[in-house]
This record gives sequence, structure tokens and C-alpha cells, in this order.
Amino acid sequence: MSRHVAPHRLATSTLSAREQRHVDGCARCATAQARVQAARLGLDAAARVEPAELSPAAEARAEASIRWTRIPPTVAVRRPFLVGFAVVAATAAAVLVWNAREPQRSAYASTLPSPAPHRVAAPAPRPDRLEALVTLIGGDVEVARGDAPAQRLSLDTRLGATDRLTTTANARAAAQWSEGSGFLLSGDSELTLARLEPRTQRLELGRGQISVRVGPHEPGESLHVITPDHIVSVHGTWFTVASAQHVTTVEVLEGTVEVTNRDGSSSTLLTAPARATFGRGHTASTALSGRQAARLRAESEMNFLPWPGLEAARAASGALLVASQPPAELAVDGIVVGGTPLDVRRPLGNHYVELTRADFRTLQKWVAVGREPSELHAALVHAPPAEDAESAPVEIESMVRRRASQIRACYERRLKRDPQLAGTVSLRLRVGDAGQVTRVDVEQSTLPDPLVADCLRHEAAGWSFAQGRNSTVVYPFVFRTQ
Amino acid sequence: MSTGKLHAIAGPAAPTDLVARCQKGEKDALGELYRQYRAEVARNLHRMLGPGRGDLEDVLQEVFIEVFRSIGRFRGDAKITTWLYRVCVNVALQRLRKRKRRAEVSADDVGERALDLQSAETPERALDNMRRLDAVYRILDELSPKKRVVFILHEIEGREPKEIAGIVGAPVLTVRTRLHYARKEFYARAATDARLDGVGGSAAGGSTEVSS
Repeated sequence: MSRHVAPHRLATSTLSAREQRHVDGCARCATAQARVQAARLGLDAAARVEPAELSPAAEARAEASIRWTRIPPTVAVRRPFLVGFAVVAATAAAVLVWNAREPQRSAYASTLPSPAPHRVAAPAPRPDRLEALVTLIGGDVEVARGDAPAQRLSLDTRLGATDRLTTTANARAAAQWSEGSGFLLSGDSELTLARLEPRTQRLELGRGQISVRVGPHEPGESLHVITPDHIVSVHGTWFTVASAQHVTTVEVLEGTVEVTNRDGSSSTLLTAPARATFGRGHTASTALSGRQAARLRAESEMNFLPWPGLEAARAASGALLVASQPPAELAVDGIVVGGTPLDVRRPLGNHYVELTRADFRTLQKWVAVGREPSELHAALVHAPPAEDAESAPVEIESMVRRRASQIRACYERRLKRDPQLAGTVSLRLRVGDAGQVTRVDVEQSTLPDPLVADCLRHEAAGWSFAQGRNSTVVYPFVFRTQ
Repeated sequence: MSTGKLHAIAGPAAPTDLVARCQKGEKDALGELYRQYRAEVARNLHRMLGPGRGDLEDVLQEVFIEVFRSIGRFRGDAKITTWLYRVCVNVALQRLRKRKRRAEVSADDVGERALDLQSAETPERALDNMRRLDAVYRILDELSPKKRVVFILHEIEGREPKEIAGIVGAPVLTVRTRLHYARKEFYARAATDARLDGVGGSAAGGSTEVSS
């Protein structure tokens, strides 16, 4: 018997007469030939198979890639090293930016559609000199310039280099100098803006505590917080520094910071989430739990604004002065910004304000912010909530959590059309006898795109609740990108 | 192979000004480049990696991130489509190597692959098609990534060794050798693969013409 025909020969249609004779008389070769031919048909089928349609998510991711791609402006064919370097630098910058834009979580995070990272526009060209816009003031905060006497800080104050800020106990102030970059000074603290330049920011903390966030920044930019004993340098994006009696406490919420002794004797890298204390001759560092980090984020909310530049941000925002009796926790557009009394700067337009305090009825109100300061003075009504009254909001919150991805989709679909889309939609849900939603109205919406509210209305129309029958619930959905 | 070319990236070369605009960093131009070629790139990746693996969109994004990063280095000495395809192959190779390390091909994803076949005329034929395709990609999974790539480029895409050499960045002779061993290995495995029994591969199985 002759040798078996090699399988790859069986794949051809031009077997020799000898090979053909062998195959005809060999069951094993005939089986092999059938299998090989089936494989050939499989290869033909592979050439015809079409991939499934790309999902909208794939398109959104591609858009994000495009947005964050930086290409060297010229093609320097003769200088391959330089081109290579530029690409690496651009990639590093893009990575930094991605890290910097980690979604911010608020105390209401579970009810908020999470922001899409590709929403963030590239940073505007930097001016030569940097000024900071005050975005939030609570309690007594003073600013001193050079030798001039200290003045009370207001939302209209423009902070510049060498300004010195002092807060009394329980006071706080936040300021912003670029997209996503700024600080929140806590009570009983003293801060000097030693340098405030586009590429270098040095904040000297005399005493007290400061939280710092850093938005998109470029390689070569630096931000340092200097305490009497240590220098904390930014490699990351969100951290808190406290200084008391030669002990510096650093809490890193995002990214990485480097803490150096002022005499340069030692340096430590801290990566989020972590807390470390640096004293004279001793260092202790622990990881922060997710819950601790979430609480710290909520506590150090800085009320940042969209930042097309200082003048534009100033022109597009107004003051909202909120006081309440008794003091309560203030949330604007779903973000807890701190205890009243509080002055905040918000974009012009309507905002959803909530004042909460245990054992008092929560006050929810739409407030218009215009060019003139808007004031809200509220007296909260003492009313320990009854269990029944609580059940509807609790139930709706759990429903919103369950349907979060559908709710988010309503927003993200339209976000693709308008990358700047942000605002609040307040729905009024009428719950019928059987617990089903019988009517949904858009009570108010600050979103310019009405289709989001329409989509939400359709979504909510299908909900039903076990409790809270025969009631009306108003629920705000806050959509934003930070 | 007679049908492969129809599906390969072989459209008209992108207008040079589109590439030039991309190299200047114009975001609009990058978007245009993406829209113009995403379908082709997706199709080619799909063939390279096999249907129903679920990670096509990830790989597609990887390809375009790489394209956007390195378009500054594209000197125009090849067609933009060839260059794009080179990036595709490199990303696919990386993915295949990763897959090999993780041995991620499981035995129960046949159902998923079935979804990819839409044009078969009857359910029986669709099932046969699906089983054949599944067996083919399982055999391809056993080839080394390099052999797999040249084999697919030649046997499924219908590309000539010279063109393949340009895409994978290897001498033509190397490509021919690799292709020879890939074919030998592929059909040797097919000949002993019982999954190919009774799926229409008999003499009545249709065209079996090949280029050699």
C-alpha cells in the first residue's frame, strides 16, 4: 500500500492520479479528505461572516479616544528621537488627564448618573498670570494683601499671588483657578498663595487644613502645598493636608502625592486612598477604606465651576447666599456643599437646593441664580419623620439605584450630541392605588435638551412601588460631568 | 480563494489631505478617519480573532488608539489602508498572545458564535456553517499567533505573500515558509478533527478551489 496523502494535499483540487487512487481505496484518507474539505468550507464562511454592529458605547469610547489624543504638530521625519519623545509626552499627558478626571462621587452618588469621562473639554489656553475665583464661603473668612488690613472674603474677590487667607473655627472657603483645579480651606486655618502661576502653584499652609484638587495638567506643571515642616507635591489629583504642631497629615483621595521634609532629608510617595502623618522623626501611613475616602470627598466638596477661563466663569455664574434656622446641611444640584450659612457661586440659571437636618423636614426648592446675588433664608420645620412618609422616598431611591443604567443612558445618549450637557430634571410622580406610577410630569428641568426629560418620563412611567400608594413624589435627577 | 479580496481593506487610498490633517492633530480629521475605516477594521479584526469572542470592541478601540498615537509617524510610503492593516495585525497579535497565555477559549461559547451567521438559507445549513466555522477557529487557536496571522491573511483574506510581507513586516520568503508550515499544520489538525465530521464537507460540499 502506498503512503497516505498528506492532509494539506487533500485541500487542493488537483490531486495526482496516484493520490486519487490511494484516497479512493483508503477509508482513513477519505475521512481526512471530508474533514479537510469541511475546513475549507469553514474558511470560506469565515471570509463572509460580518461582525455585529458596533454598540453606541463603542462609538462613545472612540470619541473619547479622539478627544484625548494629542498628536505632535509636525511630522519631524528627520528627527525620529524627538518625535518619539513628543508622542511619549503626549501619551503621559493624556494618562494624567484621564486620572485627573476620575468621576467625583457625592453623598448622592448612588442617585446620580455617573459622569462620562469623555465629556471634559481640553483645558483652555493658560493666561500668563493666574487668578482664583472664590466658589464657596462658609463662616468668617478674611483675605489680606501685602501690608493692607485684612478684609472679609466675598464671592467677588479675585485671589492672586501673595494673598493670605484666614478662616475662623468652622469656617471654610473654596477657590478655583482652572478646570477642576483649586482648593478648599477648612476652619481655623491660614493659607498664603505664595505662587499662583500657570505652570507653578505654591500654597503655604501656616496652620489648619486644606484640600486640593488638580484638574487636567500638563507635564512640567507643578503644585506644592508647603507646611512649616513638609512639602507635599502633586503627582495626582485630590488630597488633603493638615498641619498642627509640626505634624503634617496628608490624605490622598486620588492619584499620588510626594511628601518631602522641608530640609529635603526624606521623601515619601503616597498613592490613593491613603492617610499618613509626618512628624519630626516619625511617619505613619495607613490605607483609607472606601467609605472613609467617600466621606472625605463629600467633606471636601469644592463646588467647582465649568472653567472656560476666569472672566468667562465669572460672567457665567452668580452668587447664591443660603442661610437657615437652625443651621442645616446644604446640597445644591444633588451635591452636598456643607453646612449653612454658606455662600456659593453657581452657574446662572435654576438650581435645586436641599436643606437637611436630622429631625427637621427637608426643604427642597428651586432657586434662580442671576447676575445679582440670590438669597435664600429658610426656617426649617421641626418634624420627626413618620415611618410611612419615609417609605416612598426610600423606595424611590432604591428604584433609582436599580434603574441607574437606564437613567444614565437617557443622559449619555444626548451627551454625545452636546458634550457640555448638564443640569437637573425634577420629575413629579403620581403613584396610584396599586403602587403603579400613574402619571409623570416634568416639574422643572434645567437641561437644555428636552429629550433627556422625555426619556426619563418614559422610564419612570413603568415603575411601581410596594408602598407609598396614592402619593405624589417629586424626585430630582442631577446630571453633570464632574 | 476567490472571495477574500472583496472583504479585505482594499478601498481607495485615503485622501492624503485627511492624513495630513490628522498629523496636524485636527480632532475632526481623526473622527473622519475613524468613521471612514471603522467598519473595515472591525471586519478584519473579526476575521483575525474569530467570531463571537466578545472583545471585538475593545480591540477595535485599541487599534484606533494606536492609530491616533502613531499617525504622526506615517510617512506615506504605503497606502493608508495597508498601514492601518499593519496596526490591526499588530494589535491582533498582541491579543492572540495574551489569549494563548490565558487559554481563554472555553468549550461553551458555540452558541454565541452562532449569532454571527445571518446569511445561511436554512437552519440546517446555518448550523453546519456555524459548526464548521467554530471548528476552523478552534484549529486556528492551536496555531502559533504568527502562523495564524499569515494563514488568515492568505486563506481567508486572499492576500498574496508579497502583500502579507508588507503587513507583517517580514521578508516574502519568511512569509512563504510560515504559510507553508501553517497550511500543513492547519490541515493536519483538520484531518484528525472529528468536529468536522458530517458538516457538509463531502465531495458535494461546493467549491474547493485554492491558490497554492
